[in-house]
Amino acid sequence: MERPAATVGRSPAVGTEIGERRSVRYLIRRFVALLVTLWVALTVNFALPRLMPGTPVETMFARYQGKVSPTAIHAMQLAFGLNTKTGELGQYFTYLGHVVSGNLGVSFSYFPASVSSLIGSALPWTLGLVGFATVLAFLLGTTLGMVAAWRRGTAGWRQASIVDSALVPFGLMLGALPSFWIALILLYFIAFKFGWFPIGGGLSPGHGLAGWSGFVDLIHHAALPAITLTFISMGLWILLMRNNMLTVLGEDYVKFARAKGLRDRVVAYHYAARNAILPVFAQLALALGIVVGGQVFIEIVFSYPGIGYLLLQAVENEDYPLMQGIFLIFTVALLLASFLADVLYVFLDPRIRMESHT
Amino acid sequence: MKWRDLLHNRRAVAGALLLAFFAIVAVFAPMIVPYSPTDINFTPLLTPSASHLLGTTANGQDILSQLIWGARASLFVGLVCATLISLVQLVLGVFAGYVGGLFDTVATAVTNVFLVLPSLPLLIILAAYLRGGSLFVLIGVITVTGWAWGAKVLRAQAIALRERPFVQAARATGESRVHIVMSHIVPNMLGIIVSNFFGAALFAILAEAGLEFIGLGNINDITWGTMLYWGQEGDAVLLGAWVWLLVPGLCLALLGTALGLLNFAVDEIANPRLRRF
Amino acid sequence: MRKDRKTRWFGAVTAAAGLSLGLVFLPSAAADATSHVTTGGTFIVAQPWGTLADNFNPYAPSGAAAPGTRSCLYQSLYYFNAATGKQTPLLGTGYAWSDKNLKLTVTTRSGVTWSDGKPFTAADVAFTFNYLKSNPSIDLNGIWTSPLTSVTATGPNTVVFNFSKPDTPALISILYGTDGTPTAILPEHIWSSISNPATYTNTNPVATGPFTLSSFSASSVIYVKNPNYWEAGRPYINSVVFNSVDSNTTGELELENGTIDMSYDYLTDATKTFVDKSSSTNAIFWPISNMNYLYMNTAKAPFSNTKFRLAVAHTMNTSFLAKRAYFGALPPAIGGAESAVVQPQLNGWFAKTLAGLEWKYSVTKAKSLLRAAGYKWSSSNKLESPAGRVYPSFTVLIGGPGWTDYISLADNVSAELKAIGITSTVIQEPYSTYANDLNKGHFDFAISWGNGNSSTPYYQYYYMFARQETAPIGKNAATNWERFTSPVIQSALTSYASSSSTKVQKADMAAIEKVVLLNAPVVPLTGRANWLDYQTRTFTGFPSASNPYNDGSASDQEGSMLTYVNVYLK
Repeated sequence: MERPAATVGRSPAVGTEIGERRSVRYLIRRFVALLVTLWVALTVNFALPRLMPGTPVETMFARYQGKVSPTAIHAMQLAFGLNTKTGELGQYFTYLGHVVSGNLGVSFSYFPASVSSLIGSALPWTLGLVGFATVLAFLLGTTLGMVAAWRRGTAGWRQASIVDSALVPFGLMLGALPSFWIALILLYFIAFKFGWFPIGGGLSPGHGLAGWSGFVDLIHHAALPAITLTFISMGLWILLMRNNMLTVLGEDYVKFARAKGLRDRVVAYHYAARNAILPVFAQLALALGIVVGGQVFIEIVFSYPGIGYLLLQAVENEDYPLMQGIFLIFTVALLLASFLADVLYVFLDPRIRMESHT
Repeated sequence: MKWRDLLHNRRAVAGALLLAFFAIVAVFAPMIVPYSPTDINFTPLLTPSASHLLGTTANGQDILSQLIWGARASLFVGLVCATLISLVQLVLGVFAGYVGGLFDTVATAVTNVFLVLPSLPLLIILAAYLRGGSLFVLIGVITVTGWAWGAKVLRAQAIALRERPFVQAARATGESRVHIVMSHIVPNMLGIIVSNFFGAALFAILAEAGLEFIGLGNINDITWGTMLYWGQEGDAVLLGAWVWLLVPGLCLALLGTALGLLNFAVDEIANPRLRRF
Repeated sequence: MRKDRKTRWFGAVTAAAGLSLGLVFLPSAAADATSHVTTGGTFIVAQPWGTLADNFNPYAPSGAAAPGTRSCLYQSLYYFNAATGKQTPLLGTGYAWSDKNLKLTVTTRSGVTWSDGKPFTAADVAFTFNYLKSNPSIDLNGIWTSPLTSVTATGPNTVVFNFSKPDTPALISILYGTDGTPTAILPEHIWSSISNPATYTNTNPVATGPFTLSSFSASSVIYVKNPNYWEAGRPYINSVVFNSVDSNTTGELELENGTIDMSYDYLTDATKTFVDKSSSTNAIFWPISNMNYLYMNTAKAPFSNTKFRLAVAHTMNTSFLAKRAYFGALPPAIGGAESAVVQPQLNGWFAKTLAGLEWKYSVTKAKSLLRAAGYKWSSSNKLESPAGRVYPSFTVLIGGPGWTDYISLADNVSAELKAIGITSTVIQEPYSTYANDLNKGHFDFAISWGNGNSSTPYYQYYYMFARQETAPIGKNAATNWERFTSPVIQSALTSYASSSSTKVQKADMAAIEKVVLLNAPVVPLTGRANWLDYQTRTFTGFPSASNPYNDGSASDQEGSMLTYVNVYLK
């Protein structure tokens, strides 16, 4: 959902200096930054619901449209434990302590199930979908981007390259497509009209994951969401890889390789692509942002029982503990992924010059 | 020389024309709509016909009128958000990068925090907490979540420019920092600033539509996102009303593509390695 | 102690009434009583319940327990059918007031065993009610907020409820509750050792219902026939399966193609989009059990002015509103329903002498009412106060998200108000804000349902007009949102609650009806229904308009227990 980073040529470097020793310090700094961000996220999480009017009991009363008797309101307030006396600051530290020990509270709409258990059962679905789609989108996208760049780069400055001319707008369009809209259209035509895939859900109800038929059922339900997610996250990789390749193709060592008479394919893969891919890792956090964004909407449209769908239900039911828990998980996941990307980047190419800035 | 390059760049022209088309539709919407977009007196769920070119919704509104009117909201949100985001990026990216010191340290820390907070869930949660608000609430929420990435890019560029001789010279003559930024730094990174602007607009439009789709906007507004929301609510899939689902998203995709093309083209021109001529 | 003759006579009559009511409405009376019934079959229902919780506690907050807890396992004393006003005995078979309405004696059913084999006795009933007293977090019907003082089992089949003051409507809370969940009877031998009933998940439920739990998963719960169920020969079917589907759309599609047998959902233009697709097998049963009202904030001007409110009432074209919001599936509030008596109760409880007092849609009449009260219109036809000030735009409050019928009602109400010069905007708020604003009186107009619908208009009138339920704007009024009270209404409510004579109670209700018709404190707009949808390809014996043995309850509400006990293979 975020824009394709056409600004690859000027990869926004993070600060450190050349040299192995310095990179350790750099990593430590990044880790500290991670902790700070986590703390900020937690504080935001704690503060926000306390600014909202209304209570979960009132939510329930309205949500059930007359099927909850007014007499039940007082009883439910007692059940939810909403009448506490501890001060705000005390609650804040209790909250922090709880989070560190993994206690994310009790859900309002799934009372008395714990938030962590709900997230725990939804997470595998999301991870499967995201993992699969990201890998596939990466492979397809970088390949297409590489092809586009190569065709452009070797076709000569004066010649228009059809492949490149087509692939760039295509990649752009993919990035501009609202993920939920594509999902809706695919849902309508492929699942509803043609009936090739189920209309939604993770598994057919009543079926377990057991055995071969369970596995097939799982794939059958996951296919359409996975295809949609791959499709929309591909655009970024295409454009990134293409731009990186073009930058690299302009480098002297590539020109030298071609002048030496090496075959095109060798130059493309062994020289250009390998080096082009490095900055791509720097964009990993951005890419994850796009995938996460797309995945949430796709889960919603396909009612796929992952974290995104759970978030929507939490939002609709005004289930603040659940919303907070999910947000926390997203934050932690992205933080870890971006930190991992930083680590990878440093170890893959310590020669890359990065600025020093404190 | 930059503008001429823009005119020769096919993608920029295509994007600009598409954007202009939507802008014209939005500006002249009150004159071109066949009916009032909020008029609920038509027979609901009509299929496309001569009197209703795109049919009607489950509430009895004309889809084409809503489609035309929806352009206003998207362009408004895109424009305002992009402007606000660019301003924030100017201060926390460009200015911070040039000035350095404590201001920069704090700005970078803030940027890094926002960079890593997952934007879509944050968007959803903020909109949920502020629910029922108008387009302005959405604009606020989108701005808060959408500025970080571009700010980082702009900052890096500003730092690179800072070391250039002509900037050093300006500093030596004692010009104020703000003045130096505005007259020396910014004009030399105009390309990337403009490119960022279009990128931010794209993000804003898609984010607004996404939030409205899940019902977090004001569902009484006439926008493309709320049209899709009502399509879902009105069982469009079940009723076979695919036109209702198709057209708002198509407009979003086209407008988004226009912005993407412009973003890409401007960047291409500014970055010589990517240029084609 | 000698009771006077009148009291004894009263007691006898009520007892006889209670017993005979119990005998006439046996659950099985509704279905074919002969033996030409094929047994067996698996009945499948589906709803978008989300992830199902491994929780079978009948007192878990709404929606927290797995479906089937209330409709297959646990039973209350009676089931109340809000569409017909009839009550069906379940674990209770009779009741009687005595001792000047200070003592309620309930007879419990004999020959019932819990699903673990232990016998069910009146002691379990007494335990359940006393358990609610010691655990107010599960007293969902507020039973102990009445003047109830003690509950004791005086025999294997009798329970006595003692009151300090007469409060005959409390009977309703005890037997079956209003709107919400009826009080489920719990086995003493299990629950006497549970100290925190609100959070207890009860994963091995022991109950008296027609089914027992067979298996649970996050997307599906399966129950099987209870061989020791107290109604001989029932249920006919072998099992009930509850599937959690991902959306209402999926549920509807599965219903249409016969994958499931029953679901609960409002369908846009149901006749065209569902019934007509297979008219011999697709059916809907949407019986009226409540109403949608236009509330006005009578605590502030101009809504405090009676003529203004009456003018608004005359401006509402309820036929058009109903047609637009429900595509003709639900009726407008006419024929006496203007008095806020819900349609099923009109026959027994609307005073015939009041016929003719109802308002009819007439903008002319509305304008003349306003003129008579001194209101004027500006040159651009906006309504002005008698002092000459043009009224600002008012808000019409509704909740959401996704209440498409309320959006339609609100949009059209707003359009109709223009006819008398009132401009308004529709505000849709999220659930808790909506409920909060209704409670605190932060609205001008609002559209919402009625609370407390039951066998008589009493509870609804109580919630809507009682002085105890109102509060100034800014403070919490749990149900008297429009903040209207009247001495006539107040004394009628008190009189009703101290009597168990139908004649007295009907007169009290008539008094209130008259006040409503002459003052329009609320404007009833349309009926409100349950949205039961089903198909009869595999099973027959569903509730329907010709055989309304329940009020179209959803598959996880107690009313559906009667469905599961009555359907059989074709």
